Amino acid sequence: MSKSKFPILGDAGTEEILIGNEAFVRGMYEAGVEVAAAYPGSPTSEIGVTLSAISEESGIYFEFSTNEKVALELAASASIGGVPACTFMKSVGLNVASDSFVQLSKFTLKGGLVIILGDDPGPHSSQNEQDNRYYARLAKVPLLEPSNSQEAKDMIVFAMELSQKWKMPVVIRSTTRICHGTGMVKFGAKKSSIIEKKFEPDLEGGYIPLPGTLRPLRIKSLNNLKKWEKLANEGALIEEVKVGDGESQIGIITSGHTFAATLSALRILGVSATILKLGIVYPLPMNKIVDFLQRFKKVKILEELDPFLEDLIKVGLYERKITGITLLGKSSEEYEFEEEEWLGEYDTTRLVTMLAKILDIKNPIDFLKSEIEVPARPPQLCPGCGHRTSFMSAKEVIEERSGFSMADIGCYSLGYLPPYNQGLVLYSMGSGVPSTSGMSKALPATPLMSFIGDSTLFHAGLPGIINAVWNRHKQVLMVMDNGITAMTGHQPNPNTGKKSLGAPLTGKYMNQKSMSIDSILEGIGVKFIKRVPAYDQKQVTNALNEAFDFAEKNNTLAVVIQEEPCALMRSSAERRAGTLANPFYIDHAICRNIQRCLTEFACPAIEEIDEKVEINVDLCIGCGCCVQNCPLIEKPIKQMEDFKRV
Amino acid sequence: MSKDRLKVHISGMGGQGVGATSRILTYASQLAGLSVSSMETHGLAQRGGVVVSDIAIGYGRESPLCANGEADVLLTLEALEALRSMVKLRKDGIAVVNTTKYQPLSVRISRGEVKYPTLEEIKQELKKRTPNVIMVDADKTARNLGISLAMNVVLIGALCANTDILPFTEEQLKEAIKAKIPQKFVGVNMAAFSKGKETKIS
Ligand SMILES: Cc1ncc(C[n+]2csc(CCOP(=O)(O)OP(=O)(O)O)c2C)c(N)n1
Ligand code: SF4
Repeated sequence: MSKSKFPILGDAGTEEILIGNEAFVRGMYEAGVEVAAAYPGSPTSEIGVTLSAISEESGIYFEFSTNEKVALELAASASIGGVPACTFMKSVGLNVASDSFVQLSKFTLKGGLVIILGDDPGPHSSQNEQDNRYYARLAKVPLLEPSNSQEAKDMIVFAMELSQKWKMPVVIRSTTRICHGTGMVKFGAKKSSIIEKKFEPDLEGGYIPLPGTLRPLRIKSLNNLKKWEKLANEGALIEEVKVGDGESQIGIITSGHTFAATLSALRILGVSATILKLGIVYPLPMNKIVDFLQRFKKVKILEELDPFLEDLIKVGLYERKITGITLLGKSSEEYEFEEEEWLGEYDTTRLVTMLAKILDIKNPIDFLKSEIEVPARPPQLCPGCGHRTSFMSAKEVIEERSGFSMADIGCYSLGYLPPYNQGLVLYSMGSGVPSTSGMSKALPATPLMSFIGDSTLFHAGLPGIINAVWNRHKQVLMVMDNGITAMTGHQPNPNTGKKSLGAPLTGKYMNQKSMSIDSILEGIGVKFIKRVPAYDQKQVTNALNEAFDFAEKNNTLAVVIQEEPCALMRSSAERRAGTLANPFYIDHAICRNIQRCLTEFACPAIEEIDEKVEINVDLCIGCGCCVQNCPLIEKPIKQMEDFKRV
Repeated sequence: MSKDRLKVHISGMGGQGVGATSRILTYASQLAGLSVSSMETHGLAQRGGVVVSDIAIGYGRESPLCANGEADVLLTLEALEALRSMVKLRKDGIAVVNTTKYQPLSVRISRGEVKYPTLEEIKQELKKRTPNVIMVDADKTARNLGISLAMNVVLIGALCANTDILPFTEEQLKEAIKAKIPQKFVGVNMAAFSKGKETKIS
């Protein structure tokens, strides 16, 4: 038995059920990774949370960096100095990191560098379902895809070995289904790096890509890719899997979770087939693929999102002058574009339908859908969330002034949903202020505002804010100061500190002092900064009105900072400690059933039961924010005096 | 059907313990020496949205996700979610439903236009698919034992007592509960399991 209190630090030979994200961490541990850095983002957030927890015991330095680009530059430079390093990010995180990511293949990364990408077909929790495999081609970096937790762990070790051998970056692309799926993982031995920690500025062409120095660096990166192509063609990480006892009715080329779902689909269909499962997805093992294609009457490429494999394979066939193969991709057999195949995930149900159609057999899936309409259950702001009270104020002020508000990314993006309808344009993190600036050029007489969370402010918000001050763009900004990066599961950010009540902090983040957003804004030259308690709608409304007047009069940016620790984080801690405030109830002797609390404030704890408003005592955290939204003078919403939470 | 394979679909609302429930059943399968994998799906964070977890026991390298109509067991921690998940249930499978209701936003702000179905409607709808429907007031049972968090273990008890398709034994299940629950709550959870076992298909 291992001595560690963390199962993922167990001895070689141990078996544990791990989610993919934990398996990645185990892989880093075995591969001898010494430095890791990341900015949180689903589906990869748990990698950071796990690393943060084991940091001390494992000896792996881990930090939450301010954004993905910073994290990537930090990890890559540690590797240049000889340290085995790792960074990871969600799909759209690579857009942020891309400016430096595209340089990596030109550099000599002595210590080794593995980059984990969490793509999100669906999408489940992203503003886009972009296909990041293209980035590998763009940046000349090899890309591997695991199909379960065991492979997630093994591929990190494999990728790090080759990264160190050829001193180049390697990408592991996973998807939500790999990051969040669990499976048994058998542990291997931990390696320790013997690479010398030393900076050699001129190593293999150095690290300064300029017009005059670029050519040899580009040649090096192209040659490095050729090494991977050779490796792939020799059969590395390729597997041919025969399903069923009969002769294969079709050949299938696939990778990742789609491979696992294809196995299920073939079982349900009762069809015999041969699958070519790819582990190295870029560069492709074209020789192997061409051999495979020639053995079957029909081959289907099963890949989620864009026809990445399909396009490359078609080029490979053209170059080899091979014709007469029935290769089915994302267009119909008549080569018509089928947009449906570009969208969302390929789960088992969908694959059964697709394959049944191609093979012209009956779809055996039998299911029954509820005939009763099932009301949607969208995500919503938690009970007691300070964003809700602020949206109530913003909505009031915006409607009164006939203005608009622009969105940004965080829990407060949910303000877009009814009944608040606040935040109406959203590109990506930090886009709120610039979109407001742009809109102000189109509608100079319209009052405009935007929202931004603390994590987003530090991530990509500041350049847009500085721009608005510098170029004098009239607008109001509300900073949602909840002291944490809430939406991705409560990771620390530079604003996290004592005020972040109940924050689940480990290691160096435990006694961190919060960086002052107020002073930063002051330093930039923001002339109106007002900090208000988020729960007090009157104060928030007054501050917003003052800010709008100031912005109008001085043709500038005015900022309101609303402050309240994330209610989910605080209330969870208080529930555990037994100190959570008593819930509220409705005194029906006074209530006139106006239902403003229910339909306009819309806290999840306020429900309608038998045509009356009731408060769900389990959900209510006793903040009392709803009370100020009841128009009656004598308030029927009251706090329970005796209540025991169980 | 063979007793070394099982597909389970668990559903509920964010924060209700879908993940914890899944970990208990997954671990019980591990104790029974079976291959097992699972998948939690929770969309945009877990802020009161739908959370589901699929478990595939004995399916090797296949995807843990249940195809439509494939789940042998449907375990739902919130009544409405049973209806949403019904597409996953196989004919004559077993559905264990917690009768607790949490109104979704779409119902609450509709001024009565969007209706939350009654428990009887939910039960009758499920009965179109299987006679094995168990409606349990698991929250009340758990609360009476002094800890509402044990609600999922009440449901697991109800499942265990009303079917013989589980590929692990009752002992393995109990051992899994003990292993996956904080030490100080093991006692009440064992009581919750026994209480759950008293439930009958109605
Ligand atoms: C480039 C990029 N990285 C990461 C994410 C994932 N993500 C979504 S919201 C969010 C942070 C939100 O934190 P904050 O702005 O403090 O708002 P809160 O959720 O705390 O209200 C992150 C990291 C993303 N959408 N885009
Ligand atoms: S997690 Fe925190 S910030 Fe996000 S909605 Fe819930 S209470 Fe609000």
